[in-house]
Amino acid sequence: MLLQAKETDGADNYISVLFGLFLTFMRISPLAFGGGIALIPHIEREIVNKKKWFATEDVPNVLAVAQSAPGSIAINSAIYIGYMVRGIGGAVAAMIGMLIPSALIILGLTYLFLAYQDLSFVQSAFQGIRPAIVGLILFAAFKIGKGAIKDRFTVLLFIIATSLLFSLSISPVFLIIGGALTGWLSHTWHPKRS
Amino acid sequence: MLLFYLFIEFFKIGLFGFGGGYAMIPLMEQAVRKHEWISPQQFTDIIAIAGSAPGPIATNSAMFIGYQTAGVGGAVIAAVSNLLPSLFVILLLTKLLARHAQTPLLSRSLYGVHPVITALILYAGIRMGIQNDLFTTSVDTFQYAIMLLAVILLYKKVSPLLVISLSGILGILIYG
Repeated sequence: MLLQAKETDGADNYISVLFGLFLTFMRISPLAFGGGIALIPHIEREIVNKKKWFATEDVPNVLAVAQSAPGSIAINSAIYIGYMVRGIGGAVAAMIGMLIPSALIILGLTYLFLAYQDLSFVQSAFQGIRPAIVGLILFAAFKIGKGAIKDRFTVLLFIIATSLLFSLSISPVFLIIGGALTGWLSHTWHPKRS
Repeated sequence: MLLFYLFIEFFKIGLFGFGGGYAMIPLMEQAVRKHEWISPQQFTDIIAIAGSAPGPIATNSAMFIGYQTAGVGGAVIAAVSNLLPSLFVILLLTKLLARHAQTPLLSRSLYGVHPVITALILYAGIRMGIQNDLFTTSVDTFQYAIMLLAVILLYKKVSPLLVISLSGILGILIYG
């Protein structure tokens, strides 16, 4: 009897931690304006200071893993923290918590956009927004490039990739795999650089 | 069949999107063009809406594209298949990091991947500009002015939501 009671207690605890992760990331998610890295201070406040799920020394690991894995940095941080706190269940709970608010907002916005895109003032608004989006993307390239292009090798790689893109319509996936291979080979040949 | 293609494409986009949400935009643009799911201009509008909502821009655009091509089911499929690679890779990375404190293979590969990603995003930005008649001779100067203003404001760390709202208001004032 006692053992059984203990087991249900453990299960209750598991569920409540998963629910806690879900709620915490649901609260953080709407703050994720302007990219995942902006989220780190909020994660630090909620996860490290309030819930004590994580030590401050482990916060750099969050960013390292989130930036090394493919995908959004905000989502990746949630997955990693959830996994460290409570395994795969925790990873999924944190990820879903991170997703739900933006999913609801985006479904609402999609509905509004599809319903009102033909109105003339919406169309003129988008005529102003489109060049801003081009600026937004170019700025994203600048921001990633600032950290990525740092020596002769990376400058060369950037130039080769850019000219391949503009001359042949080469597949991005093929280019990314090529970049990974050359990056890896360059370090094997010049071990000093790592 | 449409749902199956949505799953495959967004899984691929999620798997190769190294370097945050913006890294996935060029991959998405390519998939959308290949399958003719939406027009290039609609794609720009989707990025505008995804970028002005809170939350990750890539998952937001995935949901929007999924919704517009196959309804709510499409939105769910696109979002889930876009996220699965992140989930798998992070679980794998965490296991690897626990076993070998430093895996040089990963950082060495990313050293080569990030310049390529930069080129891809730059290319996507320029393509998007061409498709929205930005880099043609007939374009009016307001379009360039708004683009420049957006870049300057973003550089000054103004939030994308504010930049997008402001350019929308400018659009209504200039073209309305």
